[in-house]
This record gives sequence, C-alpha cells and structure tokens, in this order.
Amino acid sequence: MVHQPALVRGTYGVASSVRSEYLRKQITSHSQVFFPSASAKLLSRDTVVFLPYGDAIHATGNVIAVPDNLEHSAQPNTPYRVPFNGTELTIWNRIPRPPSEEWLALPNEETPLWYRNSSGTMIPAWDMFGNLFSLLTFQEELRTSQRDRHERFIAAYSPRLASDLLEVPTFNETVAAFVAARCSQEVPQRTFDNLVGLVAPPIIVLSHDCDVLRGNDLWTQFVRGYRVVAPMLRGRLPKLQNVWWIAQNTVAPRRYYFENVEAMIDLERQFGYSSTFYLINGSGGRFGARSGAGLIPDVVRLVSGMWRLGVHYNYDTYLDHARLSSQLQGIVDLAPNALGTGRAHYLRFDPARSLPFLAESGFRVDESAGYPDRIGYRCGIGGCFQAYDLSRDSPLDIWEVPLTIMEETLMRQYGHDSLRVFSRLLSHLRSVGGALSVVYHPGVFFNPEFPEFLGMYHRLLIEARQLGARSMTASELVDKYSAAQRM
Amino acid sequence: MVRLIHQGEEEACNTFHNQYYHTRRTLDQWSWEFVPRQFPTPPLPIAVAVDQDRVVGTQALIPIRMIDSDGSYWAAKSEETLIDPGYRGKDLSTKLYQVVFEYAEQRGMAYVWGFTTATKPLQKAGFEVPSRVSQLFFPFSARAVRVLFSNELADGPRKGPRRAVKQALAAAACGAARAISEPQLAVARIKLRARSQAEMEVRALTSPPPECAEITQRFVSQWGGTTILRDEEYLRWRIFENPWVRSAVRGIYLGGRLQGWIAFCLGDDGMGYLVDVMVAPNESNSRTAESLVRALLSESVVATRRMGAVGLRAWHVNSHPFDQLVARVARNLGFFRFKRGMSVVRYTTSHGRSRGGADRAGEWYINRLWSEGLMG
Repeated sequence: MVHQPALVRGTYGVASSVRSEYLRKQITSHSQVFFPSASAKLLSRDTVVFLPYGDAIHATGNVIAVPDNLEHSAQPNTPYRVPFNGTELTIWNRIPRPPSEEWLALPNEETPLWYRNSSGTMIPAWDMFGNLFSLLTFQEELRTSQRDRHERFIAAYSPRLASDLLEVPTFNETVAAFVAARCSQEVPQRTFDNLVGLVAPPIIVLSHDCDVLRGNDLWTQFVRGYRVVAPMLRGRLPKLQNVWWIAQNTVAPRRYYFENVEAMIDLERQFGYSSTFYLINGSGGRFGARSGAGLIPDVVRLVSGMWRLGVHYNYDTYLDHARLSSQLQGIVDLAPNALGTGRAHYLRFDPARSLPFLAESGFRVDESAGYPDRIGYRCGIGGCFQAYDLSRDSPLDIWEVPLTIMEETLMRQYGHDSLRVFSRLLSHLRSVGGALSVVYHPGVFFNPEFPEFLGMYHRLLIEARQLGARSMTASELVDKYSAAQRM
Repeated sequence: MVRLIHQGEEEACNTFHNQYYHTRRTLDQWSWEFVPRQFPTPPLPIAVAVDQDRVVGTQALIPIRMIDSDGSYWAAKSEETLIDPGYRGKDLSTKLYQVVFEYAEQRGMAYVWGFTTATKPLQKAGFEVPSRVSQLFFPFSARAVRVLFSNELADGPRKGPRRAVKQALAAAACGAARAISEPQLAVARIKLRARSQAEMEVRALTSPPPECAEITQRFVSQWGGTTILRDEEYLRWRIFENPWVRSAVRGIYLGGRLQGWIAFCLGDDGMGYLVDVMVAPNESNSRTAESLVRALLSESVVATRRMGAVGLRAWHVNSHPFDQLVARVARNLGFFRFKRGMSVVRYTTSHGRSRGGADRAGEWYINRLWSEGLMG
C-alpha cells in the first residue's frame, strides 16, 4: 500500500496530524448533532484513531483505525454500494483488505464497508480520510482551472459527476457507519450496519435569496420584452403573455416578488419551520442588486422571531474587500442583524480564497458552496463544517453550510420528478443523519409567470414534514455544531 | 369489552388509528390531541372496545372549555370514532358512546359535539342534529375545482364522463366566479385602505395575545350565544404550537388595542382554509365590527392567495349573529356560498340541559376551529 501524502501541499507528519485532528472534530460535532450523546461519545479520540496505514493494520482492540496517509485519488475509483440501515452507503476509492488472514471483510469481499480483525479493530474499506478531507477542503476544485463565465466551479467539472456521486452525502454516510461500527464493538447485540433508534430526524435548512423584490426593474422587464420579440425574429408567434407580466409589474411592482416574502413566512410558520432571507444591496445591473435597497427595511420588518437575515454578497464583491465592505456599510444601516451570515449572489465562490476572505470580512456562516447547474453535495456533506485553510494548514473561524438544492436547478434537472428526488435525498438523510440546505427564491414562490413552480415549495415542506424533518436556519445549525465541538 | 382506556393502552390506540387510516401518526401527536392540558385526568376520556387484548374500536372526547353569558364550562368534541371493519354490525359504536357519555355526565361536561356526514347512527346513539355546515368559497384558480372534487364536497360517481363534464363545467363556473369576486375584493380593499391608514392596523400574531380570553368574554356579551373559550392555553395548544398545521394569525388593532383576530392556513390539498374569526370591539358597534371583519377577511383572502392557495373556504353554520355577519361580509367581498357540508351533531348532558340546552342550539358560534382537527 502506498504511503504517499498526495493531498494538496500536505506532508505527512505535523500537517497530517493537524488535518486528522480537524477531520476528527468535524466528525465529532456532526455525530453529536445527529446521534444520541451516548452513541456520539463512542467516537472519542481513544476509539477512533487516525494513523499511518502501516500502523493501522497492526492496531488491536475495539477501535476504528483510520489510515490517514494513503495516496488520494480525486477521480473516484470503482464506486459501489453497501446496504446500511434501510438505505445504501456509496463507497469509492476502495483499499484492499490488509494482507494478514486475521482481517475479515464486512459485509463481504466484493463490496466491503469494513475490515475487521480478530481483536475487534475495524478499518474503513475505503480511503475515508482522503475522500472526506479532500471534499471538505475543495481539493477536486483546486486541481483544475476550469471555471464558467462567472468564474465558478460548476458541477459539470466535478470528477464525481461521471460516477453519479454528486448526490451522495459521503461525510454523513461515513459518520453513520462509524457510529454503527462503534456501537457494534461496544454492544454485542448491535450490528455494524444498523442504526435503528439512533438517528435524529433530518434537518432542513431553508433560505431565500431576495435577488429581485420588485418585478418592474429594467432588466426584468427587458428580459420579458425580449421574450416577446425573440420568437418573432425566428418566424414564430410572439409570447404575448410577457406583455401581461410587464403591465402587471408596472402597475404593482411588488406583486409576486416582495409580496411573497410574507407569504413564505406564513407558510413556513404553518409547518413550524423558519428560514434565512439573504438581502442584496449595492451595485445594480443585470447581475447586481436589480431592485436596489429600497425594500430592505420592509423585509426587515417582516423577518422576526425564528426567522433570520443574511447578506447576499453582490456579484461585484467577489474577492474584493473594498466592494464588499461598501456593501456591508449599506447593510449596517438597513439590516444590522444580517451581518455575519451570507451567501454569494450567483454562487460565486472560490474554493481556496472565498472562505478566508469572508472570515476576514467578519462572516461566521456562509451558504455559498453549492452548484449553480445541478443539485448535489458539493462538499460531500449534508450539514455544516468548519472551514480549513490549506495554505496555513489550520481551521478558519468560519463555517460552511453547503447549499444542496436550488429550486430552479432541481426543476431543470428533474422536472416532474423533483418532489420524488427531494424526498429521496431527505429520506436518505433520515437513515444516516444530516441536514439539507435548500434555497427557494421569493420571485418564483407564487408567480404565475413561472407556473411550473406554483405550489412546489408547499409540496416540498409537506414532504419534509412527512419525513419528520426539523428546521433550523444556517446560523442555528452552526451554533449547534460549534457548541458540540466545544464539548 | 367496552370500557375507558387503561394507562399504557395509548400506543395501541394510536397504532389502531394508523392501521385504520394507513398513517404514521406518532405517539407525541396522539398525546397532543388527546391528553388534555387543563381538564383533570386520569382517566382519559377515551373509550375502547377490546377483544382478546386487541383494540378493535375507539371513541374519544377532547375536553374543550366553552363560554356563554353565564360563564365558562366544559364540553367536549367527539373524535376518533373508529370500529374495526371486522366488528361492524355489533353496535359497538353505540356502546362506545355510552361509555363516553357517562364520563361526560360524571365529569360535568355540558355537551358533546361532532361533525359528520352520516347522522343516523349518531342519532341512534343519542345525538341531535341542530344544524348543518355550509361553505363560503372564494375562488383563486380553476384548479380549485379539482380539489373540491377530490374531497367530501363532491358527490356522485368518482370517475367517468359524467364526472369529467361536471368538473369542466365547475371549472368554467369557477373562472366566471373569479371574474365576479376579484373586482368586489379590489373595491373593498381600496375602501379599507383609506380607513386602515387612519385607524385600523392588521398585524401578524406569533403567539397567543394575552387579552384573547377577555376578547372571547366580550364576544359572548356582545354577540350572545356560546363559543369556545379562546384563552392563551387553548390558542397555544390548538394554533400556535400545533404539530400538524399552524395557522397564520392576524390581529386587528384599533387605536393600538387588539379587537379580534383571524386564523387561516393552506391545507395540504392546496386549498386555503379559514380556521377562526373572532371580533369583539371595545365599544359595541355593529358598524365597527363589520369593518373589522371586512379587514380581517380581506387580509385572509390576500394572504392565502399569496401562499399559493387555489381558493379559500370558510364555514357558515347557523343564525348566530356573528356567523351571519361574517357570511354577509364575506359575500360582499366576493365569497360564494354553497350548501354542502357536514352536519353538526350534539349530545346534551344534564349539565347542558340546565344551561338552556337544546333551546339554544342556534346560538352556538361555530367555525372550523370547532373541528379540533389538524388545522386547528
């Protein structure tokens, strides 16, 4: 077996132990949020040990030994599925069974989840450390310079896409497997693939980017006008219904946009859920704050109690301290409670620089790490994690709550199957523990201009309730994780 | 054997319900519904039919505090009337009712009420049928017809060309109704807006207002009759901490003082439902009350439509003056009324008879809140 620290700029030794400790903390805090404390405590420093492969295969006793120096492949290698707790775990970058005969593959040699020796020691049958650390630190994105026209790494560039792994919350699956394995080591009646009665209900993290709060801005009206004319240029009939939307929003600019904010709050309250509204101000233009900042005080008046505000970093603030601080100065007067939590407009997010940049700008919670072109777990986690700065090899004082589902991409990708897919993702998290971050724009919540979305948010919430999902805002989730990490 | 529930049988009752309806109601949700907050227990007011340790029938009462001009008293909503299909024809239902009626009598409850489409068996058990629920309906979309046709309001065949024709006609009627309702609502809102800026203010309520019990007391002294005592405990239980569907609640203020509220929600079927309306202005004045009701109803129409509802439904039940007022204002705002709905059934104990009993049947102010269902 290879003992090659191929992870970006890491060398085995001090750096590796810092990274292992970082990963352990993320696993511990996640397990404490989604599993009973007695079970989560089984994943202690003494019982889950990170060590070089050569030492891991000689470990003894009821511990999980995680090799942390394997050569990591960002290109997923031979993925396979293993039945687990009423669902399936997806494994890739398998490692061979240790050479000694005393190691058994569980559940079988073909699709192993664990290797266990006669003393009870278990080794994950895949490059668990490499896979998770690589995803939490965006390494698959750092290995390529491919970016779209908004300078974004999109799902289409991910090496996981070809193997259909973007919708696999591998971090959650790993923690679930660890908890079950440790329980099986401590409680003889339990098996390594069973978590019955141990997984807390899934959490749904709802949010709304208030990109457009008035439907009469120049760009929105221009786009409608273009939709009328464009078909005629191709010799087709004009889409005259757009004239109706132009007229409606000229007379009533807030209709179907700002007015949806209160309706979304009413609807969420019905389910006992809450959400974060991300506010955008600053530069206007096609990619900027189309509605300006004039309606922000009205949104602030509506958003209270369990609901939260956040900053939607404007398009032109991307990695630009001066522009971001200018936007934040504007927000301070209008919505001081919004500071500290944010998401990037157009999801402009640099895998290496954005989180350190945002931490320096005073943000503690970010929800930008999602794909604009597909739904999926960009960091392999349904939940949140403390960011890690590879250049300094140390954790950052900012937490990422990766975005999993944007309503538009869900609909574009799955159409009429959208609800079923949402249900599948949430059901899976119900079996392994986790949180699903969903953004739903007020402008499509109830807007006859977009009939395919009518009633969709309501149906998503009904589905979430039926699956027993709880709701937390991103900042509440981070509070829970960070409190767990301090314990 | 038919008897009151024993401690430890709660799970079996809930499982029986889940098997009967193919649902996944949890024991916590069962407890929310059936373990009273204020009414002294045990025993719980639930009758069970048991055969060889297996629950084969249930009949529950939900104790509710009522109020009339003489003060507050206890009554109960009949709920969870379930008989295992294999045990039908044995008159288990009547026997279960006898047990809970005896309980109600012994524990000082004045009435037991319920809503049903099948009145005969309940009349046999001792219920009377004082009134019938009719519907107030505001159409938002022709899609409302599909919802109306898929629920209890539709009769006749469930499939086939006749039904399709009926549904198409209803959709066309719904479109026409909308063309009538929308301008009416728009005019009413323009009138309201002028007054709102001067005096009235509608605010979202996120917790039970401390003055809610006082408003209910004022309501019965102004409007007469009897209704549910909406104190903080009740509203918290039924609306603000409802584990199923928490209605949106708007309070209406005059000069900064709360005068009443309206509760509404979006059902899982996409239909909006008006759950509760309660208005009792500080100074009794029917014109003020009418304005307040108009403002609240108009708010509920706009808010449920923005939530994505295909229509808004409300109950109109009897000749209680406030019920009449709500119906009148609703029709002025563009609601339509159609006579289709469940019957109200009521059993009166000796305590109820001493309060006026059957003579005061038309004086109950009943709305959807009385269903004590998942939506409040």
